[in-house]
Amino acid sequence: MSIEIDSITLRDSGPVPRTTSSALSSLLARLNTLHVISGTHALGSLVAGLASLGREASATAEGALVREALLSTRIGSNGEALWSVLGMDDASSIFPPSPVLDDLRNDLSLLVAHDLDAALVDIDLIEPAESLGPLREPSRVECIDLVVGMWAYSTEITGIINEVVAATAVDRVRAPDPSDLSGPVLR
Amino acid sequence: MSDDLTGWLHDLVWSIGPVAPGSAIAAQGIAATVGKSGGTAVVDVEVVNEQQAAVAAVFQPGVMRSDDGHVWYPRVVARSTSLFPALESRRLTIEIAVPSTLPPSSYRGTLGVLAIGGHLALEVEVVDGELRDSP
Repeated sequence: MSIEIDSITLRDSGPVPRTTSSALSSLLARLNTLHVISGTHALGSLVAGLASLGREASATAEGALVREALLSTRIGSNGEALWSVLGMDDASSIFPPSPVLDDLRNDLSLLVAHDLDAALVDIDLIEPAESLGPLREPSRVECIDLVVGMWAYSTEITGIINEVVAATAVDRVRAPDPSDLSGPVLR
Repeated sequence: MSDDLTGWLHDLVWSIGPVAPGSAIAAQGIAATVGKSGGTAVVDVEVVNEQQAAVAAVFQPGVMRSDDGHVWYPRVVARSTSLFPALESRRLTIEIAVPSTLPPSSYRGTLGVLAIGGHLALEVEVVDGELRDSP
């Protein structure tokens, strides 16, 4: 007999509690580490992390339909051709995936935290100018530029992909498959 | 050798998201709701964030299956929220489209969040589209 519930609890997943301080430590560690690893590694881990997220998302109802719809269009075949010819498949396979969603969630939590000022005291940050050197004429970039830019970037991607998926006839209901009746009831 | 080890450690730190604190879902039982074919079903639950930091969490239903083997890939029409402030509770409602081609039955699946461990069992009772709304 099923028990109906009306609440879900979000808890810490490991020994490190999610606080403003620990989220800030995570961001600082990533920023500091950027000065001592190669750009190839950083980008490769991000790509591998996004691909890992895509595989996980493909196991969800919406993600499975998006994947199936995209694969049925030129995006699927052209993407595969680019991936293979440019060697992205080999390159991305050797980098450990970054936990991109955990990082994003922790970074977002900093933007809405009430106790950020207190956490910002006593941080240990490597001066970027010393290790990077002059890359271009200084042009001030504000945090809000990045946030709005990420919104615009994700809106562009979401709009394009949703348009492609909407134009693709993918069944949201499938009739019983006799060989599948004994399968697990999971997503 | 020392440089190699240092580089390897830096790579590892970058890759695993150093001390990246995470979230987990704790839920027992089943969230149950009813939807009409050709209409929508609304999942309504309280989300309690016990963490000391806000959580951005987009709840999504998984693939739903009926006892007779029909498979349903539900589409979310609307969510009331995806941001759960630290140490607060928020009511979460998720409206799911119920296709008119979906045969009436009881469909079971899960409700979860990408990259967050744990999920809530979800059951949607799909009824005939001509059934009247309850008052």
